[in-house]
Amino acid sequence: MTRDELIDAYRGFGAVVFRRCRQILGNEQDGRDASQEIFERCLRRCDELRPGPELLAWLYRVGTNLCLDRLRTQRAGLHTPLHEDVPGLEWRHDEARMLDRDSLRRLFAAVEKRTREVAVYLYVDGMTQEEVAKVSGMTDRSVRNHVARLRAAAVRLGLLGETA
Amino acid sequence: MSKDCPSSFALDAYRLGLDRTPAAHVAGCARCTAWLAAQEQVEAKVAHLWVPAPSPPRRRNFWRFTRLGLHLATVTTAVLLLVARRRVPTETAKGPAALVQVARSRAGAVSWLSPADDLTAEDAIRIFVNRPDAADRYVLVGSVDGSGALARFYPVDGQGCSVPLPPAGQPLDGSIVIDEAPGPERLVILVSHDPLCWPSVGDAVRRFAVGAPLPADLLSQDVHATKLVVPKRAGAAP
Repeated sequence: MTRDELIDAYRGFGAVVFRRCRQILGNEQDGRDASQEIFERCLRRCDELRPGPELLAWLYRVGTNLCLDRLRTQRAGLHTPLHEDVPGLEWRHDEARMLDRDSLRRLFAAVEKRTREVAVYLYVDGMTQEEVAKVSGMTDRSVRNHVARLRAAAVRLGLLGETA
Repeated sequence: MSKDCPSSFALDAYRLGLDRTPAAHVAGCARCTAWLAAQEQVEAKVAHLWVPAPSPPRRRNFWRFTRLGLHLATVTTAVLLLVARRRVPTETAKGPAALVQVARSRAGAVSWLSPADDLTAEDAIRIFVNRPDAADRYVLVGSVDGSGALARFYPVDGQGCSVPLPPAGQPLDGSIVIDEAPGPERLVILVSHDPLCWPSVGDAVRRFAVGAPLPADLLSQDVHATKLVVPKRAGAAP
C-alpha cells in the first residue's frame, strides 16, 4: 500500500478508528489522540499493509490494543458508552447491556490483556467468535478459551449468573 | 441492535465496500441503517483530523540514508575491530592497560566476551592476562557484584596471595563459574611485580571496583590495575 493510497483511504477508515477509540476511551479528545497515533503507525508500516479487509482488521486490532494500553496506563476501566443513545456508540451485545459501567471496570481488571481484547471485540463491536479470531489472529480455540475466562470472571464477581 | 445484527466490523466492511454480505440484513433493519447513517456523520467529523506530514524530497531521503549507511558502516567497523582485538574495555589506574581477555562458556558454547555481551548464572569464564611489563610476575583477580560483595577469584582463598602469571596466551588456571549474585560484575585484575595478598588489598579492590582510585601504597608498588564492568542478566542462560 502506498502512502497516497493510505491517505486516500483515511476518510473511510479514519471514521472507523476514531469511533472505536472514542468509544473505548470514553471521550472525544482521547479518541482523537489515539486515532492520530494509529494512523501515524499505519503510515510507518504502509509498505506492509494491503488495502481492503486486511487493513480494516489491522486497524481494529491495533486500535483495540492501543486503547487498552492507554486505559491501563491511566488505571481506568473501559469507558462504556452504555448511556449513549447515539446509534453506533452503544454496546452491541445483550450480555454487556446487563452490566453497568463499574461492573465492567471490575470485570476488565480481573482478566488478562488478551481476554480484555476479546471482550472489546465481543461487547463493543458485537463480533462473532469467528470474527474475533479473524481480526485478532487468534485460533478459534484460543478465542473460545478467552470467552470462557471472561464469563468465569464475570460469574466469580457476581456480575453474571451461572447460566449466562 | 439485536444479537442478530451484523457486528460493527461487518458493517464497517460493508460501508467501505469491502464485503457486501450484510446487504440483505441492512435493507430490512432500521437500526443498522441508522447506525450506518451515523457513521457518515463520524466520517465528516474526522475528515481533517489526521494530516500526515508531507513526504520529504527524494534527494533528502537519499542523503539521509547515505549518511545512515555511513554511520552504520563506521559502527560496524568499530565493532568488528573490537571483536578482532578480542578485548573488553578496560580502565586502568596506572601505566599501560593490562590487556585482559575473558573467554565465556555458556551452555557449551565458548566465545570471547565482547563489549555487547553479558554474564549470567552458570556461565564459566576463563581469564587471559597479557604481561604489560616484563617485570610483572603475579596476578590477583576479584569481582565486586551489584550488592558490593567481593568474590575472590585468583586466589580463591581469602588469606591467599597473587598467583603466578601464566605464559603469554595461557589462561589463569581453572575457570570461574558465575553465581546468581546481582550484577553487574566488576572484575578487578591487579598485575604486580611481587605478590599481593587479599587481607591487605581486599578493601582497595572493593573500592577500586566502584570507582575509587587505588591507594598510594599500591601505586608505589607498580601495580597495574584493570577493571572490567560486565552486565549481568538475572536467571540462568537460556
